[in-house]
Formats: sequence, C-alpha cells, structure tokens
Amino acid sequence: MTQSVLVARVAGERIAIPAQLVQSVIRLGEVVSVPRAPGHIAGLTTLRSQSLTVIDSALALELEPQGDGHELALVTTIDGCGYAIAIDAVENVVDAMGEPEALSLKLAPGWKRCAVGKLETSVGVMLLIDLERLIAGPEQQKAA
Amino acid sequence: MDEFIAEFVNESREMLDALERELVAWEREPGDQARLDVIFRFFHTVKGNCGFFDLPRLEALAHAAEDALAGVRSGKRTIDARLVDAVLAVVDRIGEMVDAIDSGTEVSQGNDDQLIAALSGKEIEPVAVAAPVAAPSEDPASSGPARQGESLRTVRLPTNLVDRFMSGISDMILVRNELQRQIASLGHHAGIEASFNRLSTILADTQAIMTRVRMQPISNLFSSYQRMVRDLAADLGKQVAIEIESGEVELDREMIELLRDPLLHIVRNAVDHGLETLDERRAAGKPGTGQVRLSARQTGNVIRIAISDDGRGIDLDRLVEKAIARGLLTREQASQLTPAQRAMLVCEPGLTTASEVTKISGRGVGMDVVRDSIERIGGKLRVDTTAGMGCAVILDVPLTLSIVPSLTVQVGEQTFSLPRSYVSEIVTGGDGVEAERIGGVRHITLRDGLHPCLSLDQVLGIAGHKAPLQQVLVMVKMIDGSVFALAVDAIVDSGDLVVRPVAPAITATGLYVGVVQLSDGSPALMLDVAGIGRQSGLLSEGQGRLRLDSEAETRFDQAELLVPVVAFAARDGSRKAVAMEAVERIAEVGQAAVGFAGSAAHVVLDGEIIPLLGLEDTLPEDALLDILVISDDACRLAYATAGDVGAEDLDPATITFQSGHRLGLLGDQPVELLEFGRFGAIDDLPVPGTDGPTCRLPQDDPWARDFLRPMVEAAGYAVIEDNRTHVDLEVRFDHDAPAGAARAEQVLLIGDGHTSDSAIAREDLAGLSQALRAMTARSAR
Repeated sequence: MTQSVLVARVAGERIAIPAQLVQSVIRLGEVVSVPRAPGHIAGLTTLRSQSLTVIDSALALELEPQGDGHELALVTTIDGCGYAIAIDAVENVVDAMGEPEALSLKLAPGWKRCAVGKLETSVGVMLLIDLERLIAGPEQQKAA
Repeated sequence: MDEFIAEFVNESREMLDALERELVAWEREPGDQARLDVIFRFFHTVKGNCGFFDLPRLEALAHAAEDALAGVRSGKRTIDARLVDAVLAVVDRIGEMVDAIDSGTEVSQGNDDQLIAALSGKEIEPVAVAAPVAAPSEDPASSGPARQGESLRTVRLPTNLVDRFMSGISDMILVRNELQRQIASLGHHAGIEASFNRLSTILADTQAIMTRVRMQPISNLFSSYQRMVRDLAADLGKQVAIEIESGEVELDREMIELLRDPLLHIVRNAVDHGLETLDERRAAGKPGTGQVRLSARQTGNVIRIAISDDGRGIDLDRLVEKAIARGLLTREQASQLTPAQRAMLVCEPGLTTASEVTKISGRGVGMDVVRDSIERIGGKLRVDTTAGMGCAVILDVPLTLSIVPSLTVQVGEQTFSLPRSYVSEIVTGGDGVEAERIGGVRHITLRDGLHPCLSLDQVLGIAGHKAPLQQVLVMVKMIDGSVFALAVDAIVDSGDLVVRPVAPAITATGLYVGVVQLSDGSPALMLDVAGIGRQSGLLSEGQGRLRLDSEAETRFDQAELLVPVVAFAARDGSRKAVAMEAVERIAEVGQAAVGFAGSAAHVVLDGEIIPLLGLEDTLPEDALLDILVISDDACRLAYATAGDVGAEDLDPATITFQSGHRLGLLGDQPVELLEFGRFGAIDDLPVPGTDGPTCRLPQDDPWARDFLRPMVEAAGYAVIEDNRTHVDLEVRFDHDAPAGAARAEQVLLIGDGHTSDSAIAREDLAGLSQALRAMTARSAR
C-alpha cells in the first residue's frame, strides 16, 4: 500500500510527512514564546480558537537555527494536543512509490532520531519523518 | 422531580442496553468473575437510584438480585442454571418497570415475589404462585417503548457538536475583533458602527450562553446529593449535616455527568458506613450530628474533590486481614504496604470492612466502580483515613476544559495568567514592603510577617521592564498556608478564562498548567504557581501534595469562628463591642425614660423597667439616647452608647485578658468586649456563677487562659483556680496527669496530637464548644 506524503522543505532539504496526519497548512501568525521550554518549542500560536504549540522543525532535527525564516506551518494533532510544525516551504503532496527503506547512511543524530526511512517519490528520494518523534525533540529523547 | 425521573429512566435504559451483551456472555460462562462484577454493579446502581426515587418494588428486586450475586461473589453460593435464569428474569422485569415508569403506568404486582424467591434459591412452591402470574392488564402497559419520549423535556446532544459550536463562536469573536480594527481604520461611519455594535452585543450574549451550556458550577452537582443524604440519614436514624464548599469551581458538563455516579457512591458510603449511629458517636465523645463535607478546589491543572466524613474511619488492620483472607495479597506483601496503600485496598472488588450488609451499601461494591470510573476519565482517587476520626476520599480530576477565575499579569513583553484561587492579595512594591535579603533571597514585609519574594522575570528567564521597587507583588498563598510574593511588571486583567491543556513538553517544565485565550484572541500560558514555588525551593514536594486539603479546612474553620459583634462608641469615649447574639435590638429612648435609683440607672422600655448600664453618673444631656437592648433567658438590660453603632466580625483569637479587661481586635483597633448573661457577667451585676457549675482549667497555659476560659465561662461554668476544691468539670490536656487529690464530676480531655482517641483537638473549636454544652446539660441534671 502506498501512502501519500506531503513534501516540505526544512533547512534546505526536502522531507516527507504522511499527508493524512497533516490537517492543514497555515501561515504562522504571532507566536507567543514559552520561557524555559525546550529549545525546539518556538512558542504558542492560535488557529482560530485552538492553541497550537509551535515546533521549530530545524531545531527539532538538531540543525542550525534558521533565523526567523519560518512562515508556514503544518497543523497536526498528537495525543489531543494541537501542534504547528514550522517549516520553510511546502512543495507538493505526492504518492510514495513503495515502502520506506531502511536507512543505510550514517545520519546526524537529529535526522537519525526522526526519520523512519528513505522514501522514493515521484519527485525524488527523501527521508520520511515521524511527526511524533519530531515533536518530542532532542531533550525528551535524552530523558527517555 | 420529573426531570430526575426522566434521567433515571434514560440512565437505566442505557445500562440495560450495555448489559445486554454481558448477560449473554455470562449466560454462556457463568463463572466469569469480571462479567459477574458488571452485572452486580448494575443491580447496585439501580438499587441506589430506586432508594432515591422511592420505587420500592424495583428496589426490592434489585436488592434481591444483588444479594444473590453477592453470595456468589463471596463464594457462599455456586452458580447454577436456575440462578442464571432468575437473574435474567429480574433484569427483564426491571426493564419492563422502567418502561412503565416512563409511560406513567403501573406494572401490576405480578410475580415479583416469585422472582425474588427464585433468586433466594428456595424451592418455589407452584401453588403459591398459582394465581394469575401476569395480569392481562399488564401487557399493554409494558409495551412501553412505543410511548417513550413523550415526557422528555431535555435534548441530548453529542458533546463534540457543542464543542464545535463553541469554537465556532470563539472564531466569530476573533473575526469580530479583526473587523473592529478595520472599521476603526475606515473612519467614522455611523451606520456601520451601529450595526457592528449590535453584532458585538449579540455575539457576547451568545458566547455567554454557550459557555453556560458547557459549564456547570460543581455546586449544582454537590447540592443534588443533599436530598439523598437527608433521606438516607432518616432511613438509618442518623443525624447528618452535609457541608458544601465548592468555591467558584466550574466543570465541564460532561465531566460533571461522569462524576455524578462515582460521587453518589462515595457520599452514600460516607453516610452509611463512615458515620456512626447516634449512640456510637456519643460514646466516642463526638457530636451527635455527623458531618459529611463535599469540597472542590482547583489546584494546578486538576480539580480536587474531597468527600470527607468525621465518622469511624476505616479499620485498616481489618481491611488488610480481609484482603489476605481473600487471597488478594500475601502476608508478606501486606506487611510492606504503606498506610496509604493499605487504605487503597478498600477499592479492591469485593472488599469491605462494614460488618453488616445494609440495604444501602456495604458489599464492597461501589469503591471499585468508583475508582474505575475516575480512572477512566483520567483522574486519580485516594483514600485518607484515620481510625475513629473519619475518612476522606479525594478525587483529582483533570481540568480538560474548565473555567478558572484568573489574574492576568505582564512581565516584559509577555502576558501570563494565574489561578486567582492562589492569590491572597496584591501589593504595590516599594520601600515600604521591601526587606533585607535573607540568604540571598529577596524578602518583603507585610503586616503579618516576612515573605520570600520571587521575581517572575527571573523565574522564567525573561527580561522584565520594571525595577524591583516598581514591581507589583502578587501575594500567593500556598496550599500549606505559606505565602510568597511573585513580582510582576503589572496586573493586566482579572476574569474568568477557559484553560486548555498544553503540550506535555511545556507542562514538563513545571511552570505551566495550560493555556488560555485572552480577549484579543492571543494565547497566554497559565502559570503553575505551586510548581514555581516548588522549583524555587519554597515548597517541598511533600507539602504540595499532602496538605492540599487541610487549607480548605482551615479556611472554613476560620470563617466559622469569626464572632459577629455589635461595636459602638461608649459614653466614656472608648470603643466597646458585645456579641451580636446577645443584642436584642438597638433602641432610641427619650431623656424622660431614663432615671436613677441611688447610683443605679434604669430605663423604661416597653412598659418595663430595665437596668441601664454604660452611663456616667449623671443624666445625659442628649435629648435622645441610643441604647443597646441586651437580653437572654436570664436577664434583660440596656447599655447606653454614644452612637456609631455597627456590626462587625471579631476574630476570637485576638481576645486577650492581660489588661484585666477582655479586649479584642477589630481591624487594628482594640475594643473592649462586654459580657452579659450567659456570656459571663458584667461587674455591676451580681455574679451568677457561684451557685452554677464549677470548672478547673489547665493552669499556666496561655491558650487555656485566653481561649478556653471564655468558652468555658460562656458555657456557664465558674472557673475555680485552686487545685483542692471539688469541681463539676475538669478540663485538662491529655498529656497532663490528673490533678492530685481534687475530684471532678466530669473530665474533658484536650488533645495536642494523636495521643488519645477520646480527646478533643485544640483546633477543633466547634467540637469543643459542643462537648462543653453537652457537659453543662449533664451537670445541670
């Protein structure tokens, strides 16, 4: 069974996210910061009357901070909490060609933690990202 | 009442529907303990509800079925096909009766007795039931479902529909705010503004209604038990006072519904098992009227509900023995349980310490159901009990969607909210309150002492805009009674906010409990005040948890303790007060009514001459004189004032005798408290105490001198100070030895701790005064 994935761009790379998990793509409005929260949590924003926790995907992947460049975010709900995952750009929604393949490359820790596997799509090969692990962020992982 | 009946019918139908599958499965495999438990609970619940609605026939059936199954659960009975049949027949009959209640018809007596007999396992004598088993008239009535629904006046909606409706309204408000900005930039346009204002009003109204639709004050739920408690108490021949303290806690309607049954079970248990009978209570030296307290409070991100009674408590040793006997745990395991874990055994299915099974409860059903239901909604249940002292069941239920009275504060660029229930007052910072640093920690001084001060900007690691002396100090009262100041830049607002849960990674910081939406639509974090205190070392872990309930307790006691007094300006220029209880009325009399006989003044009032006190030796020059008319059973007298008469509340803890007069504090002003009649005798009058009962008190104890003595005197005793005289009553601390050779008719023990069961705790003033009254009554006889 193939799945459709959303192709997004983070820190210059393309990533694939299972499309059925993404409720919508929004333009980020005002983000209220959360003092003392883990670094990858950029803050809170509101989508209509729902509060969303904004995740900085670059920081969650333990990459270099991308400045204030994030304008778009993917809205998803995990364990009843809404999240807005800030990304650089959304490219497309495409069908995956086959199942994700095991990773043979040695990846940087952030990628290694969040990636499910390599996925071939009609627009090229990219990593399929597990949203839950992305949202959990580096600190949580260490604690576990 | 109709709506309750409708509720009952709906609920019973729902349960019957749910039971259907269990019954079929049980029929196939009657030995299945879990299924048996489910069916057992059904009967238990139906029985409980019936008691409430006075449906004796249903109750009798459910009771009989429960009885039979209890026998199976405890292993006294084995299951056979006949019992299964009998149980199923009863379930069917309950269904018929529920339909009949709904359609307002009566199911004829029919064969209830036969069903009950079948359950009891006795041989059924066919002759006895040879009479027409099902009266023909029964059939049309029991085809009830066709007529169901006529009496329903409520509409049941799926809650997610209501949720969507509510978030739709919130969205409309956000759009409205946006629109407002746009209209403002357009410049003045009367027509648009008028329409816009109307829209705003309608929206605000709709939002208010919508909020009400989902939220219910928890006090509604609590009050709904009052009737049940009263009826139950009457049934059991007990005196029960139910106290409700729910603050302003509101809960999601759905949450309330989910709590209704579990709480009912707990309250019922408290009345039935927790509280002793009148005689037992008297024998234990407790007030005859038992107390059941329901309280709710928001603490952090949970609503904490406590149901406590001052009854006999749970006998933990017996409970553990029973658990061992039933094979729930081994003796070794039992020996390792903490007291809290031992108490939790009461929630194991089939365990109870009630020695006799009553028709209300006591088969160990209830608490397991309760715990299951609470855990299902993500809550926690804890049992706190002290043998002889009472039992408290504490439920922590999550705050998924609840309105919290909050304070919004600003620090630097950011806005935060905090639950107002923690805030005792707000103080403007500055030199006046700033104190020295102690051990590197900033402190501030308020009238009641020195308190540590945390700066919220430092706690959160953000930059505040105000210098320390310009900050606003929010005084936060912790659960254990300790107070600290939280310094913020400014208070923005105070109002009710809807708190929603926030991502676990954010609550993991220990600084926040949730997120709220401010009126402009922007999100703001709600601070975890207890967490902040704990992280800063102001509150230990243990404190935060264990004492959560005692604060409500203290607050309650204090409120009860304040004595209403009438304060007035006396003619000698001082300010005096007298217990409001003693004041009959305030009257204005003309000069002519006042007279002197020798040096004693009197006044003519209502055709009666009564003594007039409080005058200087001469007749007042005022044409009219304000007097307080003071009376009790024994005497009636008047006290002259110089006006300025008002009602106040006096904290008896401030009363002191040290100057030879009884003085108390009203605000920060000392007043002299006058004593009349049974409140003691005023010097000018003959002392009635000498032929009344006498009492000896602990000596050299300030508490006894300042506090106990007035109470004892108020109860009519004359206090005897030497150790040799025979007295009617001796009050002593339980750690003191009896006073030498002197004799006392009665002894009242005051406990400082947990040294003895019969002692009354110092803090338990209500208990103390009640005990004193009981003693007086006995002495008088």
